[in-house]
Amino acid sequence: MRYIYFALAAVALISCSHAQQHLPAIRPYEFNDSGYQVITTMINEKANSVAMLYGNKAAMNLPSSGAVYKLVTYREQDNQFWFGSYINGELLSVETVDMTPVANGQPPAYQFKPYHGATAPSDAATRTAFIQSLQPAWYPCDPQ
Amino acid sequence: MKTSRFLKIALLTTGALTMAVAAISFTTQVVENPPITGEINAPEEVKQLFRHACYDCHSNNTQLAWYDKLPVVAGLVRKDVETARQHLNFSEWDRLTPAQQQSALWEAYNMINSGTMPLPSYAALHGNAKVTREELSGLRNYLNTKRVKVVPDSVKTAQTRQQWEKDQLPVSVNGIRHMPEFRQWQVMSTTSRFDNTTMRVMFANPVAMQAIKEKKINPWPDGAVIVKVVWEKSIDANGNIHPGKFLNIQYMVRDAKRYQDTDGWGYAKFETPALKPYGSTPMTFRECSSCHRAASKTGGIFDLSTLN
Ligand code: HEC
Ligand code: HEC
Repeated sequence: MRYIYFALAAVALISCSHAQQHLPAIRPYEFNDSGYQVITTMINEKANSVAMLYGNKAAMNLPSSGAVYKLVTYREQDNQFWFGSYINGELLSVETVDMTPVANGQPPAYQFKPYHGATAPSDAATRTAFIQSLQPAWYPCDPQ
Repeated sequence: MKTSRFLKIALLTTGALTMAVAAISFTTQVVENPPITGEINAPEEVKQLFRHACYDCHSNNTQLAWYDKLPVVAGLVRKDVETARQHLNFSEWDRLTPAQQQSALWEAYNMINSGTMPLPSYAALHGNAKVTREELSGLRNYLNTKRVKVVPDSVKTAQTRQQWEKDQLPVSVNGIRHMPEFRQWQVMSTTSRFDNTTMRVMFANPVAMQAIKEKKINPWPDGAVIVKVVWEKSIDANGNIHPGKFLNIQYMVRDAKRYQDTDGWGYAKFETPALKPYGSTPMTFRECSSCHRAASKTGGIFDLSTLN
């Protein structure tokens, strides 16, 4: 009987010290989305990536000029805390489509910013068209 | 000789009758006494009152007198006890919520005070069921300790204000309201489930985001709010997966004291585009918190990207 108590006490001690272990290494947020709102999310299973499409205020209130879109692409990784879930991991690229030049009859400005060794896509016009083709996700309470 | 024979017959008859009555009263089970799940908790004098005046009908400890077991009478008694237990059962007090217990006590006082309870027909026959003046004032004194005062409550204040607003936002039974302002918050993460067919985006309010940056998330600070939006996956001709049908929006609101029953997080879920609040009582959300213990290393939050 005594041994049982001893064993229980030992288990209690171990679990206490366990709780005090420091946090797992949380990935820093490299892309600062402040001022931008999420328009939609796109998963590409072949490329093992997930991308979030953001828009500035003008992009959220159509029709309006000065809209800026940002497609932020991450590598998908296993969710360390739940088997059955992939989570966005390393930041791969941020693509920006700025609609401002359109008002002067020019094409939208496209910019590609690579992170962690990602290579630029071949064609700016194709990427711009693709980003513009993405449909917004349905969010509750957004003006429909 | 003649008289003695007469007496004999008389004696025999009464004897037989008495035995018959006795047999009925010992053998007939007028009402069953189901197990006691949780007795009322009150000062002894209050419990004493209920025990002698009410327990024969309002408890699982019914003790009937022999005359309650007589044929015909037994049927009436059984009916009374069964209805009485349905209305109020001091032996199953634990089945009532604190609010229900409170209102049952005040109702009991007023029933006795007005002479409605114990049932007068019963009290007339059962002398010991009568409630004395002293006992009744003892119950009144006890109730005086249970008067409720209105205290400032931010949730209730918000609800009061809200009923005047044009676009009413749905509120969960535990007081958590849907917060459309989450659309301005930062994205915490996005997940793709392969144990089901959903995809999610998590948003963190400024308090939560700050806590992540400062690595102060075990425990998370009060005021942290994390939102999760869940959609069905929808795949296009090129194999890209997009958010399809909106399923629900879920909240975790940190207030270590208010939500101590659910490990310091208040949980809420609003389903379908109509945002129907999920859960009928605050207890519902224990199911959320018990599963979220699997994320205890990160203070109950699963969806944080780690450096692998
Ligand atoms: C002989 C049985 C009997 C006794 C003893 C008795 N009651 Fe009742 N009580 C009943 C019955 C039957 C009802 C249901 C009445 C109805 O259906 O209208 C009832 C109803 C009540 C109710 C109403 C509950 C509700 O749901 O609205 C209260 C309160 C109550 N009793 C309190 C008491 C108290 C307090 C005592 C003891 C002082 C007591 N009763 C003693 C039979 C009894
Ligand atoms: C069976 C376990 C389980 C139950 C029950 C559960 N959750 Fe979760 N919850 C998870 C997992 C796993 C994740 C992260 C995985 C994902 O989103 O892909 C999660 C994520 C969340 C998040 C995002 C924050 C985080 O922890 O990552 C919220 C908010 C949330 N759940 C709310 C709720 C609410 C509200 C309930 C109850 C109505 C609930 N959960 C019940 C397992 C559970």
